[in-house]
Amino acid sequence: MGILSEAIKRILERPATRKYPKEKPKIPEGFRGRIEWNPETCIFCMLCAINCPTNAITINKEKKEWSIDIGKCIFCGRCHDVCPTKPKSVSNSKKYELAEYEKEKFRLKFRKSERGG
Amino acid sequence: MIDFVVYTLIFPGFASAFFAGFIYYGILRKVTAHMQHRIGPPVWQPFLDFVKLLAKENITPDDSTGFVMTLCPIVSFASLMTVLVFIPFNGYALVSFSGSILIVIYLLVMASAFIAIAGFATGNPFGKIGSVRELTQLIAYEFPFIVSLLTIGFLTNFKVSPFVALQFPFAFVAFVAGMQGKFSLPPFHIPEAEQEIVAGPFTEYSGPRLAMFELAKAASFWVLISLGSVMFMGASNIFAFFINSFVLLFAVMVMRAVFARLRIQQAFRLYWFVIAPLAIIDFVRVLTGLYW
Amino acid sequence: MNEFYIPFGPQHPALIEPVHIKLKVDGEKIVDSELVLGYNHKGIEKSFENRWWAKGMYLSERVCGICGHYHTSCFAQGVENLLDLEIPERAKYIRVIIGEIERIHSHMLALGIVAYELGLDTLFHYIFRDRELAMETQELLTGNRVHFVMNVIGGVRKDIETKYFNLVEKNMERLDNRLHEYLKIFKTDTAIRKRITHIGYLSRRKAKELTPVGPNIRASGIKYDVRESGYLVYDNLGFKAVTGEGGDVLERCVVRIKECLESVRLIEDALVKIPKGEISKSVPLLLKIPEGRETVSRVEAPRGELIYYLKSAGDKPYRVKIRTPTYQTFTIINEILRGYEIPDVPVIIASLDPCLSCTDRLTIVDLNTERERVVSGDDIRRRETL
Repeated sequence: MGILSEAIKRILERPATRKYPKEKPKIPEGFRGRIEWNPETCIFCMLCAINCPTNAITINKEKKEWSIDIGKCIFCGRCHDVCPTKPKSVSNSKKYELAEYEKEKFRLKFRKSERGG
Repeated sequence: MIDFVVYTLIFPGFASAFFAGFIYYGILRKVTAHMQHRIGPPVWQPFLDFVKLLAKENITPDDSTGFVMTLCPIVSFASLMTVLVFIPFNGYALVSFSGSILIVIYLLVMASAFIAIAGFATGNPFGKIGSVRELTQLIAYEFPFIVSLLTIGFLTNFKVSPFVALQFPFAFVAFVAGMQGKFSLPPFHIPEAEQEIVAGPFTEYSGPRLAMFELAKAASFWVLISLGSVMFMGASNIFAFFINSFVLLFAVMVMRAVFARLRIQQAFRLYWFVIAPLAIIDFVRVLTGLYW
Repeated sequence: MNEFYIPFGPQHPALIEPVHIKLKVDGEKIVDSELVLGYNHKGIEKSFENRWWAKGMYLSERVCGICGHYHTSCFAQGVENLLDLEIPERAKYIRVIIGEIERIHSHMLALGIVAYELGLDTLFHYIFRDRELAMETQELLTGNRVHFVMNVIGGVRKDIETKYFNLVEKNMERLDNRLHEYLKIFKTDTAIRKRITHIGYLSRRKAKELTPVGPNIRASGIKYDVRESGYLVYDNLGFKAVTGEGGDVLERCVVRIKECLESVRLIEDALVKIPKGEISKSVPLLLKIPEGRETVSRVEAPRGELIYYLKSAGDKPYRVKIRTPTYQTFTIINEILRGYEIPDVPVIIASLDPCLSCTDRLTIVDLNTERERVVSGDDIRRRETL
């Protein structure tokens, strides 16, 4: 009886599940989390905005503004793939806890300042 | 008098049934969770559920009879509580007379039958199917269950009193199977099969009424396991009583973990053609004196 | 005769997907059944038509959460057909590896659900725990647990790094052991066998007539598997289709487990044989395909044969038609339900491994006249007609 023997064996073992918010999972390399923008290298070529499948990225060339709607983003990483700069100015980070109470907070806006920060 | 009050309200009466019943249920859930290789709820989770349900609203659907819906869990709980009067804990029962086993059997049937009535009272089709299944299952497990109790009864003058049923393993098996049926736990969780009929009789139940049913369920854990540990495993003092109780509880857990749900016909056949003959073997042995 | 209808779904604890099956029952026995779809229409086929080819890839992945990689593979394969593009060998291998891992986790999900419908929560939890091995492997290789976005038109997006090969092989070995264990449990456990042998029986003749796809037809003894045709690199890997004999719920489960074992073998084989080289051919970001070109592309998804029909309208598709495997499999639902009893319904349905998210079609029922009609694309565009 396969199930019985395994059930008895598991009683004193450490469970396979984890208490998530207390115990964070291990994030592998190459995980596709929240999109991050590096103002240092960005040339405002609009490629990421045009190629975004859900139109989550919007760019204002004059104001040198780059904004993303996390609510629309599907974390596909296409903006990273098409980015022509080196090093890439748009990339996936490892951030994955993105829940917010208000929709407004999903609309992230970044601006390239004169000092480049 | 003080004796009576302590017995009915504290141990083994209401307070014990409340706490121990819920703790038993909590342990059952926790250990089963570990058997399933997951963490599971904390042991006091049934308490939290109970308190939460008390704070919720009672919903009475249009088709249902609100009065009966309220009455059923109370009667079910009350009849289980009454059984406690006859069980000797620490070698002493409040009411003890020859023939008390028959009353115990009757009260235990009451507890299950009122669950079935509750299902009919809700007017929900799932509730009705659940109630039919509950009654069918009652007919199935009640016979071997009664035979197993009477087997012991013949030797204890039909009184609920400590008895070591080592010579009657089949009667014990029939008792445990009947107990599992009364708890509606696998493989006999047919009346409450959530994949088939949502929650069976409890489908329309909510709020304090459901809390009362939870309480009745917890009480049934306390009562039936106590009954088993006294009548079949001979617990004459508190220490032995709890050891026996946990052994029984563990048996319930293992069955819960490893069995798939039977179909109602299969359960019926299992009770009548496998477990009942086993129980009858021991019954006949008692009648003919063929035991040592 | 005391016949009456009872509903199964669209909200039902047994199957957490919006399908509605009207069961005509006589007591507990099922006399007839009628399938009602239309609770989950997403309008994806229509949405393809105003997206560029490259963006359509991401949409096709959203047809289904469990077999998303197969949808993109099928779509990409179709677009590559239209372009007459041959993708690099390494990309083919990567597509196969990711796809087969996805097949394992999809089949294990189906097995877990069957165990859950049987009221055997323990087995359900064990299977889902071991399914996590496949999920972790996917996350490791692709960067996400679902929606891998591994395919792009012309190849794959991301290479599989050699340093992960050991880990993948180790996971596959553990999965192999566990799957053999489950095969034993399903074949020998009396409590399970009592519930699922000779239930939901589909004879070989009926299977040929009604043509379900995937494991459901293979369990009835008909060898029908698109992978046999050797698309991608399945012929290099020596793929052998698994078939069963019984045609009942048990046999469908057993076929799924055996397919998982075959997948494990394929992955291990592919990791050895995978050649070095580039992973994708470069295609222009804004892809243009001559108007009017059309193609049909098919792959073997976990649930069976998946077909995409594509017609080009320049930089966007003119029409995308998706034939999902579950849609085809639902032809047998009346056949396998009739004659069995209410407690068997959840198990039988779960054994088909239905995926409603892929399947649902929109039908409008006019409540006044009870006339049904299927809504065309133009109607959706002109909202006022609805």
